[in-house]
Amino acid sequence: MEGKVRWWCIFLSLMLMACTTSVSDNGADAVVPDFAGAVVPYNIAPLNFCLDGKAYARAKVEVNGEHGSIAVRAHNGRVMFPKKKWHRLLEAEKGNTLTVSLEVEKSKGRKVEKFFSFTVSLDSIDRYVTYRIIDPSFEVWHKVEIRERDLTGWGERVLSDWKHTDNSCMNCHVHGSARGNLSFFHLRGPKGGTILNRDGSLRKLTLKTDDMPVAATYGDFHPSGRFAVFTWNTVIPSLRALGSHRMEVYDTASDMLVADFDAHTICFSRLTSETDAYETFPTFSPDGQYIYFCRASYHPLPDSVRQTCYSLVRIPFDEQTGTQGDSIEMVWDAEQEGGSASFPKFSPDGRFLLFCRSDYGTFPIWHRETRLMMMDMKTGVVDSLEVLRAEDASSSYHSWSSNGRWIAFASKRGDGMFGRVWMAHVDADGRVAKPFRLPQRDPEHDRLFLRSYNLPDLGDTPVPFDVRDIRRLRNRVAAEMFTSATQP
Amino acid sequence: MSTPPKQRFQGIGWLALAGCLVLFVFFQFFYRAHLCHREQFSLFLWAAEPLKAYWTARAPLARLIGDFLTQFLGFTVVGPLIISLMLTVLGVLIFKLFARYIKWWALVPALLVVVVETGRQCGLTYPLSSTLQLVGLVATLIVAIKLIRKSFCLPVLILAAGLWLFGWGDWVKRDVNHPEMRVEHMLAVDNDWYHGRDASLQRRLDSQADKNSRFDAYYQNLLWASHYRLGDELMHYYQPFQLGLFLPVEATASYQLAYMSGEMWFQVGDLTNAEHSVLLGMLFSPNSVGSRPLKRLAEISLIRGDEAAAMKYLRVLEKTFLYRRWARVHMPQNRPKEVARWLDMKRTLLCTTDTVRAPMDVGCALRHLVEDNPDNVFARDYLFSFDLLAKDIETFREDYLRYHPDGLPPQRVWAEALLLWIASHGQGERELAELDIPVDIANSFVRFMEEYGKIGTGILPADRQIARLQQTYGKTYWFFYHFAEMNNGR
Repeated sequence: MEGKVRWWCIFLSLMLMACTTSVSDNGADAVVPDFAGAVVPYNIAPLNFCLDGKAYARAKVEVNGEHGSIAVRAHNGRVMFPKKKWHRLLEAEKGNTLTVSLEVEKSKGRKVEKFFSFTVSLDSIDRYVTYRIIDPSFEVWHKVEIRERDLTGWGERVLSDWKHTDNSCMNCHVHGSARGNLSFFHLRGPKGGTILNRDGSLRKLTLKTDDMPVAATYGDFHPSGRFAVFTWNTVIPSLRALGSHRMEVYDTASDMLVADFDAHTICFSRLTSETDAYETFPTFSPDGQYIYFCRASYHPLPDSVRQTCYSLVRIPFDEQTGTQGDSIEMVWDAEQEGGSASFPKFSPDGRFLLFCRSDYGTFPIWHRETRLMMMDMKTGVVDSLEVLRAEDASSSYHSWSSNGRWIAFASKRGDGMFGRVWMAHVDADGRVAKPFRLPQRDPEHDRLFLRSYNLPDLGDTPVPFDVRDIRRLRNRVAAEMFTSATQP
Repeated sequence: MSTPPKQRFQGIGWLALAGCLVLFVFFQFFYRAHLCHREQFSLFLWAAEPLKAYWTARAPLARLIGDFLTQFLGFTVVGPLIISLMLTVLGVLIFKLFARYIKWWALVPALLVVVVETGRQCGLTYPLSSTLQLVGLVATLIVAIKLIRKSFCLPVLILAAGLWLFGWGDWVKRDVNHPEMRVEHMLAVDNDWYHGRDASLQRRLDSQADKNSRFDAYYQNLLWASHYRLGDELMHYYQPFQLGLFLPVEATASYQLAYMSGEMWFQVGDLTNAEHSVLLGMLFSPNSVGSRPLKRLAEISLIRGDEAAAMKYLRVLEKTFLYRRWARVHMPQNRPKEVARWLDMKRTLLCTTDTVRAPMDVGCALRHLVEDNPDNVFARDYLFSFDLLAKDIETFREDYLRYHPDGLPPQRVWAEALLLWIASHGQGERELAELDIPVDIANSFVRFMEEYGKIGTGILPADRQIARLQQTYGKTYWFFYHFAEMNNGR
């Protein structure tokens, strides 16, 4: 009799074990977005998530740290944490690893538990991020918006939109050194111009002279805020036939210029103007002494688009005279490295240069193989940042936080079509942690939202304008004109 | 002793019923394609965030009910019933509001509002919710007026609630629309094509054959190509040169045309252009979203094997009432055999090599498709037609010799074009035999050339001679080649 009981006990134990999954970080496979193993800032909004699978529809979710915990129940698979409790927990757990456990009630009352963890960083992230909301269409725009999101909560503000600008196209909003009081974006169309937000005043500029076939396109600020470097680009969108590549966007002509916002001048260098090479994506080094940009030698396009690879180069810049130097130095040689660079952005301390690497071409967003690379400017070593790499989806259009500990970037990972904002921690030695997606109040938002987030740019303070200011500037203020000068 | 109000307006019920019937008949039998189209270009998601979003918008209840009902507009009987009932209720409420003051004269404002709202509902951009706003506000007003003698606070509260729920400041300003039967025909043609009702589509196209419409030619060509009859029938319908083979995707084109242009690309297997058209059509549509474009985007992604992108669209569709099942059977884990077979078939049409080209480079795209896959009959027929409708028989012959499968005799139009080439190059019987051109077509060509050669030489004036030639040879490629001229006005 005793033997029978023993066998029954063993049988029942085995049955119970069969209903329980192993406890490991891999247990996060049902969690969307996946942030298992990520490092997150202590001031980030609650990392709400979805649980895939019917079994998790009413799962009990608990976040446990050394000093406290939060427990919530999923609503139809949506896990949403109370904001105050979340912030209290993360504030108390700075530097610690938190564990998330999922408790699921099965039909016969048995429970399956899964665990994963994430780490709360000691570093805070800038409170604001601006991005453009666009449709993932091919070459036209419609209903474009630039918004600013408070990363500590759910607040979102529209800075400029189609409703107030007669459905004008607008390009991405770029901060200077992640400062809320220094930024610009291009508002296209008849009454448009470059909207400059500098030290509390808003200006509308025509960054185009008679020498330029199109207005300034890609650009970045000098640390002083007085200058900005741009390229003008004749951008050609074309279609691709194979698979899900969809588009190839290339420039048939381009040149680089430095705009002086005080003197109203645009200065070209003969080194770039008098060659038929292509220049794009310029940026200043944080000390303001160099302009880094991408450069490719001339190829007839689109026939030779696969041979068009952009290297990273730099040219000295003299802040006193506002002129560029007389030599171009190679920083990352596309031919040698076998790829094409785009969108270089420096960490605020100048130690790291983050850029995109694609197989060829200049428009990273449509190249699924595009990934972020980071060059240590001290050693010249380039890290391929495997941790940020997404299978079959681009990662691009990144920005640094003002303290240099966080990067934000746009990535189409997940569906390959709709860009979303991702953020990752960078430590003092340039080690990058697993990224996490911009949290949303309703975690289902990103699944159902049929528009893309484009160029997330971090800012330490909110920008001092909104849609009404942009409408007034567009409709009532004449654009300031610039004159061109080619330096000797 | 005065008659109680209920008895006084007894006939209003019958009037309303008659009005409702008229509206129903109009929308059911004369204007249904508009309703179907409106349903196809709207999306009602049964998910927390979109539902919550209604309550932060203006006129939340009107919008919620309007969008909820819009998803049923595509159903036969149900759609017209919804819209006719809604308009009738509006008319009755307006009558009720005014009847206590102006008696039967209240019919005038009631009829006027119903006529205006019916006109507006005939457009594609005027949402159901806008009429529901009126319904809600008038109903609120009636209730408030009824209660005003009993209490002051309650009617004020009801009015405030009515204004909030049905649209304080959310008046969709649109010009007064009117029924557009030309647009209805276009949408009906497209709808027949979408639902695979080939016989109905053919009847519809035949009924408008004398209108010489590029749009109709486009669908006629699609229909023939889908039955592999383009090579026989191409000249049996109005052909505005190459323009009947594709629709424009330009900034000036309407969103409907942009979307419909994707049908051809989807059928020939150029999914990049197809996706381009669908996205543009969807983007510029009134709601910038729609169940039909989302379904097509999911299909395109599935055919490409891009399941991650497909799942994005399928997950959205899974949140709808009407397409949930469709979405689920297209998800990789639930896919039935027939869906898998259809995907396999569509995949055989795809390009296997890459090119970079401008959007709408039709000739380049078609040649690339056939070059990569000579068995893509749809694309091959379109390529041949594209050459021929440009009157480019040199390129046609090159493409024909390169892509037409050996051993198959040419279809009628191809044979007619080859004969023209042979005649213009002085080639003889050997070429005729090599190309396997049917003898009866060759003999007919000889007769055509004899008569063509006589034009301008006989007693009859040339235009009479051409008219006689047209009677016999009007539906041949020879006649098109020699006499068709582009009419820029059309």
